[in-house]
Amino acid sequence: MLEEDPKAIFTRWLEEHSSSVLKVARAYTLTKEDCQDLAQEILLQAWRSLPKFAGKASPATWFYRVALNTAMNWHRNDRPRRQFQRPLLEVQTLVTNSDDSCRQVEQQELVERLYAAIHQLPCTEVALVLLYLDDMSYSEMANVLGISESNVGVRLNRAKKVLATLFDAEPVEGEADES
Amino acid sequence: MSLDRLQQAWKAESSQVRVTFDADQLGREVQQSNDAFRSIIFKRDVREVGVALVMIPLWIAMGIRSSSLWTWYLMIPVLLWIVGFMLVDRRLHPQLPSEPGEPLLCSLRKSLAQVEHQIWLLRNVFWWYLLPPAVAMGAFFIHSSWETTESWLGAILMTTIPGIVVYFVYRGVYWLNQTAVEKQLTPRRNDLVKLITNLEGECSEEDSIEMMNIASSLNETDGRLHLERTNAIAAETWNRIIPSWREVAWIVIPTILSAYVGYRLSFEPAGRVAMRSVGAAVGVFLIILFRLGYVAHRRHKGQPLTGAEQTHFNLPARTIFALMLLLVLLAFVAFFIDAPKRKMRDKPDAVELDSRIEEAPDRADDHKVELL
Repeated sequence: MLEEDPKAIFTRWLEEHSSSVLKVARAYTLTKEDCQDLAQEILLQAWRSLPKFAGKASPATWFYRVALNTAMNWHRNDRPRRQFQRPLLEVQTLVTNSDDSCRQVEQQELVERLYAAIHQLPCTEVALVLLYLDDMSYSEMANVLGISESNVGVRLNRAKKVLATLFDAEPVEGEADES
Repeated sequence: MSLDRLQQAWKAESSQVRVTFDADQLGREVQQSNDAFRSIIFKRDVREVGVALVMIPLWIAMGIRSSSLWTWYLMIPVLLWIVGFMLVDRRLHPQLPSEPGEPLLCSLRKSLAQVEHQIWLLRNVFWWYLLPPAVAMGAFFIHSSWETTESWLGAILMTTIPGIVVYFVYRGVYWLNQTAVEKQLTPRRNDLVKLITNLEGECSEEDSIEMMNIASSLNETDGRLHLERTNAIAAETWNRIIPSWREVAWIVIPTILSAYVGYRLSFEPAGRVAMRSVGAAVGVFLIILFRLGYVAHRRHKGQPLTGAEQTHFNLPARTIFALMLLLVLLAFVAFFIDAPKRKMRDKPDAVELDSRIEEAPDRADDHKVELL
């Protein structure tokens, strides 16, 4: 199915889609350790199932499928099995110039609040919201989740409303101190 | 806050993150994980199928050695049936590692199919696993009792005791299987059905909230994790029964003492020294083990086994497990040593034969006189 060297393909795909792995890992976990643990598990599962990739879906869709399936299967109880694994991945945040840094901090705060809201959503809705935030089309979302596009539309509208409510309910950092 | 702004912030954050990974190590980890999975599968097959296959020649050898009745050999087709059933079932419903590249709904449906099959298997455990050996054992007990006593009443009385033992063992096994269905598999199936319904169709927000708590049910149906968890639960069970060396002492000391008593006391109907010693040791070992199992069950009441607390057998539990295997081995050895002796017991002894030979000419003379 894959004529090119799997290692080279995987490296290239991961460069393009590593952010989706991290986002899914972060959305389905509450602590940094768990997030790292889940991200590693997603990488392992992706590598394992790469030979079976039939090319019917795009790499982005495939990565999301692997990540979401692994996240739903992931269980904190499996930690004893994984605790002996050496760290497989390293996450680096790129530094921008000083003009952008202020905006970057503001965005980071916004994203933090967004994750806090996402953590309160049901797991199937989390999947939808992540795909929506990554600007996927209804067709791609339906492809990842295995449901119809109309179903995606109905569910996404509801999820967006819930997300907006939860987001507005989240206290903005510093607001509580000021009041 | 507009969702568009959130989307922009989300995308901007993605562009600021870079992930580096060690591809070689990743490959090694996957290989190790696959090897571990294959090892678990191999051990399971050896345990469940290999033991039955080893039992067949052993059973035949034991039957020949002890000149058993033909009903003894009924167990052979039964063992073949169980092995065949397991192999066919494994082929039709393999417990494969999950395939994460599939759409979510598809993966959920596969998990549901696996759970439903496991439920079917355990619900029908009586028909495919328990009943066939029971019929074979029952036929042998009744036949041998009849041969020994040659009366229906005697046969029934002799069959009653092993029958009661088998009944309680079967009841325990059946109960364990049905409890697993009720406590683990059925809730898991219900959770999966809810998740699938939630993804497939329209459902209320209340239903959606419920989904938050049940996603972990997926994990139970992953073939790989299911097997790993089964092993972990077995380890947890043993560790609960034998948590420390004190329990080891509780079992080992009386077992050795009873073996010694069996060795010292001369009780001819119980067989040779080896048989008496091993028989006494096995009996005491089982009684204490069951007693400790009951105590552990009481101690951990309301704490279901999860396989999460301990994933490996502790050393005291391993010791008792090894002792159990040793006793099984010794029991077979003792049986083989004792078999010729039993055969001799069933035949007339040498003194009796001599007296019969001496009487034979006199009887012949008597017959001659009668004829004349």
